Amino acid sequence: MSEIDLIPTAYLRALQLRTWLRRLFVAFAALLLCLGAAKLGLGYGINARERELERLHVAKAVALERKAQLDLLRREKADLQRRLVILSGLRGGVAARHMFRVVDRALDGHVWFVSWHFRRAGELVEKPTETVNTGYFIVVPKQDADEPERAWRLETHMEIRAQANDHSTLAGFVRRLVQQPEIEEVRVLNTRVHRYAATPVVDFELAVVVNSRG
Amino acid sequence: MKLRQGSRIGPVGVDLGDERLHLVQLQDTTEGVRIRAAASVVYGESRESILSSPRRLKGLIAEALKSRPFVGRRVVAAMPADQIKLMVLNYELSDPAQEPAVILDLIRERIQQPLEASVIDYLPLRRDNEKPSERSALVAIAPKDRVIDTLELLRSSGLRVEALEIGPGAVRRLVRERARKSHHEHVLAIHFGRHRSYLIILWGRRLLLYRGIDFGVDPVQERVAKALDMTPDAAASLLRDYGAVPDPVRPGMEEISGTLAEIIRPCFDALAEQVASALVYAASRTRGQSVDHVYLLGAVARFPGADGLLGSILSIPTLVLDPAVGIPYARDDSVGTDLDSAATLALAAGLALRGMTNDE
Repeated sequence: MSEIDLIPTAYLRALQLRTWLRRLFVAFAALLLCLGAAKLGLGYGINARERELERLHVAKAVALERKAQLDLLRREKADLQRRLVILSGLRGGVAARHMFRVVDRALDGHVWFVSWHFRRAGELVEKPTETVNTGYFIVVPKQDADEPERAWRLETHMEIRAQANDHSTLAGFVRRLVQQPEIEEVRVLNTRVHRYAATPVVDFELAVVVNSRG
Repeated sequence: MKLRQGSRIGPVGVDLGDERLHLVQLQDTTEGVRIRAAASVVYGESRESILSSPRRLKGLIAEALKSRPFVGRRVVAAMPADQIKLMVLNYELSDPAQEPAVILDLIRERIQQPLEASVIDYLPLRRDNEKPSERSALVAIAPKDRVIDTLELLRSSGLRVEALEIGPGAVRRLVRERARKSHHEHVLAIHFGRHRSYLIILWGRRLLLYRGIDFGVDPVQERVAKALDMTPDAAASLLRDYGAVPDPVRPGMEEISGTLAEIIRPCFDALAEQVASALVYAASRTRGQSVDHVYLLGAVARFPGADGLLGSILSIPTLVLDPAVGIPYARDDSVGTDLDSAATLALAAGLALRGMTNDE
């Protein structure tokens, strides 16, 4: 058996509609809340990324600065290496004391020295094509790509002023000197004969080019 | 008692009584329907005042629901008796599909006013020895604005109204539930209000009579107050405490109860006359039969001995309609087994029974 119910149908429908509208509103509010939360989340994420990007920019600037410093240091190193090569080259070759033995081997007891200069020097010249690793030239590392390749030419030589009994003694001395492997070239710069208490003496000057390949 | 897991819990029956808010919720257990929770909360102010303030009513309802193991906010309520008009219509019907239209025409003739401002519902009644074309229906008519006000009041109090019905329907349901055990099929129920009361004659499943009478608790209390030269409130307290019969627990108070019985007896005599008139009508509709029992519910039923006094006048067994007699409490946390609760929770219990029994 049915029962009496005085709730009007229109009221029930209105209540149902109101319920649906409330649910819709709640859903809409929830959606807005979700969107707001998503926006906040994304905003936070974007901010975090921007901060990260800024940090990376700073890191990049620091890296670039360090790279510049590194390049500078590399250039300095290259320059120092270049100098080291030059200095090594200058330090290389025949030692000065060895020259005494070389010259001593050429002496025969009739030549005596007045003065003896040993000079190790060099100058920058255009790099000759055939002089790579010859020992005469030290290839100087380029500092700039456009810079022409240059070489440090070593000029180790001795200047000897001495006296001999005669020219044949002088010639023998020069011949024996030239035969020494450490000697590249001997040039007689001048000779002059004068007397000491009626004994003739030949004054001479020699330029001895030392073999720097050694 | 152990409740069945997953057993069905019914809606809360809500009765906005004259002085108290009554709530009852039932549960279908393995042993039948039981009262899951019941609460009776005093308004603390006038009924009109609390009903005009949804916020205060909401607080009161929340407090009542919290005080007992109520579940959910589904409720069944009843329109106040003074706001509904009930009538039994008899009519002939050739086409059952035309029944609503026929009833509406009859109502229009009876009430002589536009029906748009009213909410109308009807309950087809089973008649004994009826011809197939002869029908009768109980029709309830209530002003639409009052119905909406009541629904909105309950809704704004946080409740979800499943049904808004009439008091007699709830009483009928409770009596039917009680009749399962007592076999009292023919009953007169008297629902006492403050100024008006309602007589309900139930003949089995059939509502035979629903009639309002000029009798209420206020005239009774005023009579006592006038006789004993006290305030109506003091008289009400005296009636609730001593009633019309001596309390065996408190010997020596027989004189007070006897005096009160003497004072209120004329009121009960007047009531008995109106009841007798109703019983004559019932006899005319039932080939001279009379009711088995008279049940009392509402304010006057709270007075100790009111049932005995009226029963002695009517010479019919008269009892207070205590819902706990037909529907035991599921747990040992009843709102109380005192007469006050028994008399006032009946309507709420009847409302809570809606949908919980099979014979509706």
